[in-house]
Order: sequence, then C-alpha cells, then structure tokens
Amino acid sequence: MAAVDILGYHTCSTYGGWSYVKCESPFLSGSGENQWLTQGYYFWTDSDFFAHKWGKLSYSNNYAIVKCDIEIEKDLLLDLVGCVKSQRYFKKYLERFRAKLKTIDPTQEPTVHAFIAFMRNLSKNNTGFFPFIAIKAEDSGNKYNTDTLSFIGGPEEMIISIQRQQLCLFESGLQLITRKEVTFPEKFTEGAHHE
Amino acid sequence: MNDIFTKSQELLDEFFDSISDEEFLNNYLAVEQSKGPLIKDYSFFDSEVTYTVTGQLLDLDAAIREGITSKNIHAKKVVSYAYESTFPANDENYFFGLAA
Repeated sequence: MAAVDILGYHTCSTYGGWSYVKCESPFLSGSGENQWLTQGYYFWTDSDFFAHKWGKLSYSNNYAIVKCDIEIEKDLLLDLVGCVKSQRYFKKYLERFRAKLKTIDPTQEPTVHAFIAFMRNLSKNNTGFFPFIAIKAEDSGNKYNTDTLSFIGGPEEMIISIQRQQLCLFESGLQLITRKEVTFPEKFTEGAHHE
Repeated sequence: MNDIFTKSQELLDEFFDSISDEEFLNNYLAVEQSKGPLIKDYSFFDSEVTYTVTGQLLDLDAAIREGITSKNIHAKKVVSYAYESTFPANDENYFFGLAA
C-alpha cells in the first residue's frame, strides 16, 4: 500500500528541559473543543516556519521544536490540503452532519472540530465509518496567510504564497513517527552541551 | 484509496439516511459530553503551575482532583500546548490545553 512521507514540526514548551522534550515529545493535545482537528499530535508541515511563529505567539519564546518524519499509508490520511477527493468527501458529510443537527436545533452551527469528533466517535465501533489516522488541513485566516499575489493582475483570483498547514496525527498513529529530532532551541539540539 | 473511501461513504450514507433525530441527538450529546475542558490563561511560574478554568484560579493538584485534566496528565509531566479556540480561528481568544 502506498505511503505518504510527511515532515512535521511539533512546537511545544521548553518546560521540563531538553531531556524531557527529547524523550517525551511529541505531546498529545488536549481533548477540548478548542483542538481544531480534535485530539492528537499536532505538526506544522514541511517547514519550521509556522512552528516558530506559533512558539513566539503562544510560548513567549520559551518553546522547542521537534522535527519528525511521519510515514502514513495514503489511504489513512484525510488530506484536506492536497486532495480534492478528500475535500469533497469531507464537505459532503459535514453538510449531512450540519443538516441533521439543524433539524434538531436550527441555532446550532457545527464546527470542524465537532464534526470530526462525531466521526471519530462513530468509528469506535466500526473503523470503516471514518478510517483515517491523520488529517491534514490549512486555515484561511488572513492574519497568518499574508502573502497573496494576483495570478494575472486582476483582484479575483489570488495565490496564497505561504499557507499555514497542519497535520493532526491521532493517538493510535504515534508509531508512524519514524524519526524525531529536537531542532530548536540550539541548546536542546544534539551535540549541544546540556545541563 | 477507493476501497476505503467507498466503504466509508457507503456506511456514512446509510447512517445519515437511517438514523432518527433522537438517535443522532444522543450520539451528538455523547460526543460533546466526552470532551475535555477548555483551559485558558495557562502559564508557568517556575515550578508553580497555575491556570484558570472557567474563571476559577486553580492549582494543578486541584485541577487533577477535579478531573479537569485528561487522563494521561501527570502532575510532574506537564507542558503547555496551545491552539485557537475555533476553526476558523478566533484571533483574539486563545485557549490552552494540556498534554503530557
């Protein structure tokens, strides 16, 4: 079965020191509804660019970055960034979920989190419902995706030159991380003098 | 990919076609009630860990006693982990979760 190799950068606190980060990372997220793609191990993909941004924003510069190689069977990755088929699948059932929710309470507006949590719960009894072990997504917030450029000069069709993309690897997929390395801060890296 | 997607779609189509409103509501509520809490204003002060949960300032031990942290949280192994409150992001409002 074909596999997808993903380079992920995990941002975490430096709390606990280098040995703790080195041994215990990546860290499983919480399970609250503030987790975009539900509970899992979160990675900024391909580059540490957003990992640094996130560390500065959320950890007041007291952050570490762990670079991970992740190998996922293509079938088990719901790729909402690079696969239109996955996007259409996601949209179709999000709409069905929304419609059902609206029949019960018209004021309810489901979030992406709520939908994924519902699907993951369905799959507890039958993994065929939602067979994925990881989800890749990007957000459209202009605050983060600032570099836009017109394709041919008009204002309607723009390219976003840098898009903020994340991977959420569910807890059962931890073994899919084939290699990890602390790459930031410098004092946490291999070869540095650790006190 | 086709087999897994096709099977999933068959199951989901059947599910959404056949489930009653009451069953759906029960499923939905079960998921919502199983979630962990929103933890915000989480910060470290050397070895002293304090944070607020739903407006109350709690220490870590108290939080664990209250069952606020997830089951795999250990008092000595706590790191902060942060994500925006909603997707799409609410830029002004960051909530913090725990992981260990």
